[in-house]
Amino acid sequence: MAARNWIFAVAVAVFLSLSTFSSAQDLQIVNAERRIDLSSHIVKAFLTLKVENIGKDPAADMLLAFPPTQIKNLAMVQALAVMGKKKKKTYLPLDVKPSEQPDAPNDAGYFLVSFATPVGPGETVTLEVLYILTHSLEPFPVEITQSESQLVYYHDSAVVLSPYHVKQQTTFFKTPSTRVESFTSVEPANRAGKEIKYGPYEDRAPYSYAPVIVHFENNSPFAVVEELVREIEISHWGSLQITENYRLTHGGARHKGVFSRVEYQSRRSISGSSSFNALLAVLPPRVNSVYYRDDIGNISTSHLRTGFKKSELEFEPRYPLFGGWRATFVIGYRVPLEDYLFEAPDGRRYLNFTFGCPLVETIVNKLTLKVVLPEGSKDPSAVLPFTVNQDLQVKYSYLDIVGRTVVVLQKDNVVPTHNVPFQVYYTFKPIYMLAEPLMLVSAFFFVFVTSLAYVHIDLNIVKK
Amino acid sequence: MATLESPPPGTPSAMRNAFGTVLSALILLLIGVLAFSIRLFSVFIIIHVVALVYYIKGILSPKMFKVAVTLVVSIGLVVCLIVVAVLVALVASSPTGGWSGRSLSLLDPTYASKYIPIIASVSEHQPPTWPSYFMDINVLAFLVPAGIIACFSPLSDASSFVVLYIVMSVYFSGVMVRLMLVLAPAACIMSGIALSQAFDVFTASIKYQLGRSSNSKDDAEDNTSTNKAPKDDSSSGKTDKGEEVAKERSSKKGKKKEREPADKPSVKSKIAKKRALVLPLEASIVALLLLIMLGAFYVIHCVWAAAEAYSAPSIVLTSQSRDGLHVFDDFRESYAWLSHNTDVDDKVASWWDYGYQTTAMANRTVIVDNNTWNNTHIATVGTAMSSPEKAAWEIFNSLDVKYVLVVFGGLIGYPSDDINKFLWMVRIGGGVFPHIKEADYLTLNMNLATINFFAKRDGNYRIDSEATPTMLNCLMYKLSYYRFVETDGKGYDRVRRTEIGKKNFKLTHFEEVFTSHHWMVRIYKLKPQKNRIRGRAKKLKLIHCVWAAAEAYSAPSIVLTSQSRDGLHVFDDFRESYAWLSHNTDVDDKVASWWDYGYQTTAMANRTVIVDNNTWNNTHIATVGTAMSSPEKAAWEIFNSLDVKYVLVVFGGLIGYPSDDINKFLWMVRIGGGVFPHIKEADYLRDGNYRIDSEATPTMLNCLMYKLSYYRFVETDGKGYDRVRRTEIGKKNFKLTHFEEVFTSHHWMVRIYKLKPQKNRIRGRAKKLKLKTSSGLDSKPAKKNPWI
Repeated sequence: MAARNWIFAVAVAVFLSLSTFSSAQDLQIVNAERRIDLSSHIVKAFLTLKVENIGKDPAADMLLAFPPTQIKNLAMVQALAVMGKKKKKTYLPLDVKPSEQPDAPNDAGYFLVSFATPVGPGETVTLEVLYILTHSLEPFPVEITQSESQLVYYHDSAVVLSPYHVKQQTTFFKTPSTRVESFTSVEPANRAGKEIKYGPYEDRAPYSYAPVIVHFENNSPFAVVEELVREIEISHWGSLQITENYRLTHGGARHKGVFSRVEYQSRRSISGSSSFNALLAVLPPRVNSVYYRDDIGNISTSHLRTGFKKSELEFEPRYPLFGGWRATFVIGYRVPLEDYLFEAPDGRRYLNFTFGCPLVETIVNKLTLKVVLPEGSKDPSAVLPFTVNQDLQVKYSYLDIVGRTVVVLQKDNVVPTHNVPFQVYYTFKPIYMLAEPLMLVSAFFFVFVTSLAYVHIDLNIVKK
Repeated sequence: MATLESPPPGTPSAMRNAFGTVLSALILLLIGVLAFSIRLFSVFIIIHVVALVYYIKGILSPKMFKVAVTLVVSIGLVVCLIVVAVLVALVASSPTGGWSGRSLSLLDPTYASKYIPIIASVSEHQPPTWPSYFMDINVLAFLVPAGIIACFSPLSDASSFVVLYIVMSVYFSGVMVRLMLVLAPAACIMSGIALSQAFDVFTASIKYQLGRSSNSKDDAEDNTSTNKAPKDDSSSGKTDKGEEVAKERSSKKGKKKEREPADKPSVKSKIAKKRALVLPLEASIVALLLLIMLGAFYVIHCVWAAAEAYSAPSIVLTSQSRDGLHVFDDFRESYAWLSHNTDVDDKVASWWDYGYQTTAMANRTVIVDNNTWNNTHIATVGTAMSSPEKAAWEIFNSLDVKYVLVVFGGLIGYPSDDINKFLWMVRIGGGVFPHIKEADYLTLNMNLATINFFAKRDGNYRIDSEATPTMLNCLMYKLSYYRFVETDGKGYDRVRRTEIGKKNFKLTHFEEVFTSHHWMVRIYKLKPQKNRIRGRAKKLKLIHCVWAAAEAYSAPSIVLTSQSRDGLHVFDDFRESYAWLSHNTDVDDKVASWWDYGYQTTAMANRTVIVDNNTWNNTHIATVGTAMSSPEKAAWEIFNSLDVKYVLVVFGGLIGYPSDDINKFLWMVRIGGGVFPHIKEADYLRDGNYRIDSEATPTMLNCLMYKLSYYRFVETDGKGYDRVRRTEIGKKNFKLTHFEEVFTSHHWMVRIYKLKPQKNRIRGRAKKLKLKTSSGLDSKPAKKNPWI
């Protein structure tokens, strides 16, 4: 019995591996169009794939391949299936998972996209893939003076890296300005204004690769938050207190030599064009008690605009940031509890808040999000649309006895696209809210009773 | 005071009091402010000693008590004497008699400004101005004299103590503004006395007038007690008089208690003795109201002063303008920049006022801070700020300083900036390093100078076009005003209300790395040694190129070219000579030349040089300059003492290369003369010019540089026409006695001479002597010949 079972298992395994292998060959990409937006330091690539199943079996999923230099800078991959014809297009989000392939050439990385319904033989499906790369623009020259503008390199391939045969493909690079120093020519390639077009290329074999380098001007603010610690403290007395500790740096070409204020102030258009001194944080609506400070006190250069949909905090660091300069600061604010804390049908409570960094167009190298639950909370669990490192800590605040449970969510390489809602579920009995007031009341009661007793006890040695 | 009023010890409540004191002391100990409570302890101890004495007195018989007192007192005296002797010995052993500079300047207000300017420089140590008295103590200033008068009627022990207290504190506060703190409590006590007396008078007369109107029969002089004296007299039978007065004046409780017995006899009748002042009812009511208003306004003033003057952060400045509040947060901006964008080990130099702030907010090591105990350090920083750029760079470099921070208020008109503090940097620097002289920085008022002997004292620190060159070249001026003229095109300083004197200048040894938003803080970085030299070489090259363009030469630094009719002409004399030196001299031979050629010689000729472009050692350069300016023999001795074998000079006279050593000669003389005073520039000057033609001075024509440059030059064209100076040379035919020509390059641009060895030289001289004699002998026959 056992032997037969074993043989059966092997047979299934062989069959499965054969089927995956065959599916890799059974798909082909009829048309691929890639638009890469290089206008900020966050590189966004939109990839439209028309996939055809040329095999005999229906295909349930397909692979997206990335070169090893990109895979480590890849912040996010999303895929949508396009349903319907023109005008009545609908998009259906697809499941994308990182995957390992044993026969990956040159350490290429893979993501597995699962189709909503398996693609039958001869059928085609259109996919929209968005992937975001960080730290992919390499400043060259590495150091610039105040009056120079920033030039960067972008390395990529003229053809889409794919484990499938690609019949026709085109790639567009969109640069922020018309100033392009150079770009690798892979015929046919041409440049018009802010756009560089590679292709169309016909019939490229799987794993074709044609490295290209684009050298262009990019003076957009390279605002990189090296570390962001966001602490969300839930108080069932009616508010959420959010404290955000930023360690900001300018991730572009390093500043070299002199910083001249007179040039910075009088010739603003040409001097320090890659530097930035204003940042925008998008905060929740109904925000109150906003503060912006650092280790040495309040920073007075900030404006808050509150609105119904969102609030905007426009603020300046203490000094303009040039390449390689750093600054640290803290932003804190309070929002009403009823907007973000809800009760689930099963009686548990959950916090529904936004993940990511409130600063616009900013990369966060390391984001730590701490949700401090009220004392006495139990069974915390976090629900996120992507994977993060989760951890539990205990924090002691004023009058705490057992400490507060802290759900720590940690993620590297966070981009604004990660600003999506997440939930933290926990159970909490409202009676715990009274613990601290009762403690205070009893303490005062004890003090008064003691003083009463002290007044009425005669401590004199000598009798009156 | 609370302790003074406590009942005698031994009673239960006193015990409780002692218990409370010990408990509070323990709490203080926990908080860690025990240092401040030592006085409290001493009062506590004294009271208990007194209580102990009373207690013992109660136990012992009077006789025994007397014996015990004499015993204790004699032992106590001996112990006290010993302690005093030890203290005197300790004090006598220290040079200033145990007094710190600050204490001495209290006793002699002029002491600090004479000997320790750093103490005088602190703004808290200045004598206060009258407005500052009114600002700080306001109406108390008027009430204090009234309180003093009140203390004299009657003068008791306690009131005389208070009078002494106020007199001392007024003196101390008059010496240093910070001792206003000492004046404050005394002034409060005095004004309290004055107010209390005034209230007494007014309320008493109101009471009297009301009483008179109600029972009109007692229309006679039924005065209530308006004066303290009779009151005290009436109640003096019970307790000690002094204590009574103190009680009355200090605490309301005492007053209340006291008024009752005082009023009773007054109501009764024994009033006739007093001719006291009874004021009309209306007047006293109005006066009372005015006094209350005065007090109320004082409270308002105090709240305002505490909010605006005492608690306003001096680090964030604000200004109220039409379009709202303007915040100047430049200090924190710069400290934050320092903290995040410099290395954690970098040292920052600034005037000491910003030391603590830099340490706390920027988290960087500073050279001097507000703890001004190390006068020499502060003087060093002051000297650096007062020195020219290069000297300052050397000082800062020796202190391992990376960044220099200056505070500049000229753009927005912030008056307490470094330029306004500059006179103290000069004074403190000059106090320790005498080469910094205050007079160099002061612009003399010439009218005064002729009249007033003390004109120096009346000079001003000016930064406008009338400023002294020393002032305009000092580091503080340069760092403050670097590129300032570009802000408004004129360089108008809003603090000094004038245009600055020197507007366009470059920094050679420092580079601007940060300037805050309103230019209040400017941070400079010391250029690294390597870069600095490269910068200078570049600059030289640049000047050279400008010259070359003007002279229709296009020249890289070391290879010169000239375009002539018959094509490009290359003058590669430098490399020719360096190659010769490298291959034809011994590897250990030392070469002397002016420092400009030091690096080239080292690199291309691979020979040790005496001075090079790293001009850190001024004395060495001066030695070479002196040798070049000296006559041959003296120069030979100098070079020989330096173990020099070869002397290299650059001579452009043949081809017209202008940056040769003769054109640099004035610097050799100046630098040499700066260290060796026997080289006097005047000896080389004819009518203020360095001339080498027939008008030149004999010193010039005999100096080594002249001789090495023009040795046998006349033989090239028969006249000795120098194409750079465009003149015929003054001394055409001469011999070298201590040097011999070993190499001259193709275009005569580089000439290398060898020091004659001592032996040879003597032999040479002997030969020459012999030659002279022989030629003398020869000449005799020659002279004789015509006769023959």
